[in-house]
Amino acid sequence: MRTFGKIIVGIVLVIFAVAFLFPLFYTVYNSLLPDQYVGSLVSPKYFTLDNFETIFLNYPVGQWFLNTIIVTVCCVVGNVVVNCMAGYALSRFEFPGRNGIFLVVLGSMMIPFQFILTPVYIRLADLKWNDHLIALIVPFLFSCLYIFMARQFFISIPKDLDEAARVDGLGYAGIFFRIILPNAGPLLTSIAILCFTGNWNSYLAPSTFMVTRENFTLAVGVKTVRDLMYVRMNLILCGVVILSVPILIVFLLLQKHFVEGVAASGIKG
Amino acid sequence: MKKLNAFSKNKYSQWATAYLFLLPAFVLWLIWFCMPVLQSFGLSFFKYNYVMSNDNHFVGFENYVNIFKDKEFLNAFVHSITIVVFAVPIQTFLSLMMALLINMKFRGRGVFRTIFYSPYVISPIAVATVFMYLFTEDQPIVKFFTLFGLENTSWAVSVRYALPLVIMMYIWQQCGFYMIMFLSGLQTISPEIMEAAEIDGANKIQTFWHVTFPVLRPTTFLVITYGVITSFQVFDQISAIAGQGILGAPGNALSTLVTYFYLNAFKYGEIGYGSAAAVILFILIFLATLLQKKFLDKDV
Repeated sequence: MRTFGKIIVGIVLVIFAVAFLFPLFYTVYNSLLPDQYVGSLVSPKYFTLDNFETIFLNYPVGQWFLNTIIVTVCCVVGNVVVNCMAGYALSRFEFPGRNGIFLVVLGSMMIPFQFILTPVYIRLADLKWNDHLIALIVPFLFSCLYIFMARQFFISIPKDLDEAARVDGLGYAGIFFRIILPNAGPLLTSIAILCFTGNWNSYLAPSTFMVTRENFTLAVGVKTVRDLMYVRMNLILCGVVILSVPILIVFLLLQKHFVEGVAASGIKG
Repeated sequence: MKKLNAFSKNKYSQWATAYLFLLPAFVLWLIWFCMPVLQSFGLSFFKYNYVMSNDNHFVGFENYVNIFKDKEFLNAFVHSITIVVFAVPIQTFLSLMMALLINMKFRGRGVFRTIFYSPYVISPIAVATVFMYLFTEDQPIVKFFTLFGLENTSWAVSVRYALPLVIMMYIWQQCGFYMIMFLSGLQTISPEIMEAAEIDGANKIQTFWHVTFPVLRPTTFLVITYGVITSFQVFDQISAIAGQGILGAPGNALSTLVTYFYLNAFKYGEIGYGSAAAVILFILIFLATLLQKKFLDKDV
């Protein structure tokens, strides 16, 4: 009976795994096929990188890549610093309005981004910022979700650490940047991964704010190419690979910390 | 009684530091969140066009009245609710099952966890594109579904199958994230309790129902709440399927509250009218959250 149960569990796991892996394999496989073999099963000796060459030569993919990296890196760094500082203040200091601010943080988490899209767009247009990368950075440098995560995490770090640093003569800023942040690994990695994937994959804002082809991010660019060339499946799936593989690599490198981070930082509530 | 520590030596310097630490977040929040929120509410009571701004004026509740008269809005409303009603229970169930499977101690569980989570980090645009190709006429997966009486057709261009396709790709992508949430919930169950239940002669189902499930209640609440909030906001997949066509294509089969808002505000330039639609979306999400709090979260 026990082995029977184990076999069932094994089968279910494998079915799930196939359901999750098949689309990924299908994408990579087809992106490597020359036109005449698309949709058929052929041996790997026919694989070619021609599609990647075509897509890089015909579209400013390199520029899109660069744009996406600039936006993502700026947002990750900004979000880590800004939100951790706020979360730290809410977790450690006693000051008038603390509970009120915390309630505002919680309330803001419930408002969907679409709700503020139009006013943000209008403000960016007034500032003449639309169609510039800055439009994808400045409005996205903070997040109430990450402030909440940071607060929950810092509450779990004992205050003794701060006090020891205080005795050693460090000021508040010194304690935060030299003692607290270096000890907040799981928090920093979870904010970094969430923020990295969020910005890398973001589509609604960049597709709304960006007009010129050269200013697109990778997600918007790939979508545009796809709309134009939908029948060239191998070429389009190539674009999908270019869009997905970097983020998968980042995730695979950091995933161990990330799962710990989810557990440690209280996304679980 | 307050404990004396490093942080209570000087009250005012503590206040000043706290406000300084909060300042960057506060300024950003004020300019890029709080004011836009208020503006959105305000705009919903105006006829407001950003391009042709000479005819902007206050109209009271006219936008709301017109929205509820619009048949397209009703259509979009039904589609949004359909996505929520199908996606949330299915993804909650599947992710709980995946978490329970992964939580069993066996070799290689880390690999499965990684596989299950990886779709979540990929762009919805990429996922939608791949699923559209996979669910094309004569493809193996479509043929497989014909065994259950479905037509052999390209799902993304079919008025009947486009919405199920969106729900399916959405669930496929989200499950892994909720699995991680359930997994971290499961880790709070101490092995002693499980052992005690086993010694008392409880079988697997009884243990799950009386030990595991109560511990997972707060996590389940969070998974469902978060699931409802995000599945109301599905946009990228729908935009991908529409391609160069009008958002919501094929033939309005995929119009949702978000696409309805987006089309009106950005394609037709009726920002006031679009804002009213956005307010309705927000109120719906708010009500859904409150309802769940009432029914699911009684003792948390």
